[in-house]
Amino acid sequence: MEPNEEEKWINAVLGSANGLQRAEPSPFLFAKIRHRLAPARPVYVSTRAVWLASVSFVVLIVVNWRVAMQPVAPVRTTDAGLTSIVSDMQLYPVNNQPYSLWSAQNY
Amino acid sequence: MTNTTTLLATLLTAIQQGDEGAFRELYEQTKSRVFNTALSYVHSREDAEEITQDVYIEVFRSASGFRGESAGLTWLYRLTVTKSLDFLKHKKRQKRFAFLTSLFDRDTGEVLHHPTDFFHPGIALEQQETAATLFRAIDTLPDKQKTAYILTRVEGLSNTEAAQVMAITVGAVESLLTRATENLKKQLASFYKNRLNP
Repeated sequence: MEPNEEEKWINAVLGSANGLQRAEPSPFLFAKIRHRLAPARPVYVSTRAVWLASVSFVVLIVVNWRVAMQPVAPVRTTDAGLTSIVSDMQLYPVNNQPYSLWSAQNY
Repeated sequence: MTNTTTLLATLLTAIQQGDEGAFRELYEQTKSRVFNTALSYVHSREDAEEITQDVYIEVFRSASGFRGESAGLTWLYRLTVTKSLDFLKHKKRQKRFAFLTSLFDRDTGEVLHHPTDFFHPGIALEQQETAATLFRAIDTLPDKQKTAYILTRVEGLSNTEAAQVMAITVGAVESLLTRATENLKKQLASFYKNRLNP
């Protein structure tokens, strides 16, 4: 009895594809195919724009180069200059000691 | 099939000359055959549509190389079978590197990711479950047996037509079908036992 049932089931499974209807793809599939087939549209840039961009680029490089190559003179600060700033801005040490104004302990 | 063969030959000649209307007509005439064949291999609408796209793009691009030694339909089926098998190989290769995801639950050891059964949209509702089992068994067949079985039993081509698609003799197709049926019966017998003793 058991093998018969098994055989019946196997035959039923094997015959289940009989009378199969063909499935249809999505209605938008052809549009997707056409989109993939369409060549990429080239982007045109005018010769003037190309020249303008090139010149701007060169100017940018030259200006940067000149700035980078300019000798930078170190700012020399003198005690006299600092003293005048201190007196102008009234930056006196708290305890107003008579020793050197710029010694570390006054800060 | 003779009328279709003549029509496709005419359309392919027009496509060779860049006729887009002919390409649309060829698509309308053959889309369900291509899509259905791909679907029998990959069991997913999205994947089958991707293969269908690839087939028609190849048809459009290499229509000029079609010399007419084989019928247009045979050529289309051959492209579909090749692309479907390539797709499955690619998918299998990707799966090989998916070892980081555990397939089993850490505590209970139960299988977490059961492969879903494939329900063919063209099969009657009452047959869906048995057909899903059949497609699961077809999946286990070697490529040539699978192709012979799908082309003849699912697509409904004659042995001669299947032989032309597979570029083998009719005798070889018959032999492949005999072996495929034997293997399917063995596989289904094991499914049956699992059904009784899950």
